[in-house]
Amino acid sequence: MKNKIQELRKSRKVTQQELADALRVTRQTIISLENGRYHASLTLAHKAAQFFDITIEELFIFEGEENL
Amino acid sequence: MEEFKKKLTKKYRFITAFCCSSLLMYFGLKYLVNCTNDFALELVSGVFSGIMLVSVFNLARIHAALHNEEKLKKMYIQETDERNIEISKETMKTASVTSLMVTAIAVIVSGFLNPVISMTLCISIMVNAVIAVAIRSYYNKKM
Repeated sequence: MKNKIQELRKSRKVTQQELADALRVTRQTIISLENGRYHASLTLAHKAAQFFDITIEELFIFEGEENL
Repeated sequence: MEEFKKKLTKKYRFITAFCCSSLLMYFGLKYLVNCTNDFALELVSGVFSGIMLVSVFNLARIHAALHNEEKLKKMYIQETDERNIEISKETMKTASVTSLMVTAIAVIVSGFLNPVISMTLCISIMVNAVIAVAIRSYYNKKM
């Protein structure tokens, strides 16, 4: 599962710390999400999508067996 | 955040009660029970000191967080961060499997050296297995 967090964050000029504070997670979690080392839970994915004002499907790209 | 504050207050009270009861138990064991075994007394002292050190450290941390909004927010994020929780779960899982494997090897090796140690370790593995099954069954019903 890939995501567009870094791309959207940079385009909106938001720092990792600001995003972390808004989503109430640590900055390390944001770094891991952006690097693809950690997959967000449904709750965190929902919060991130709400923050960027897009849908979960637009923020997270599901590939291969992750789809039906 | 209010829920977390309540949880911390409860934790603070629990640790305080735990410290007080540990203190009573320690002095009870030391002065009321007529024990002449030096090793047992030193062991009790060591365990007590360790418990007290950890408890006082945690009490200070919680006290600081409860009286400072910034620290409370920082602690909330640290403790509820899903990646941190996931890391803790994975650590526990890996550590318990590794510990089980190491103990199993120790059972085999100690079997050649000292049967009593080997049996003790074997019983320890069995007790761990029973506890693991009980916990698994609890979570199986809960989730």
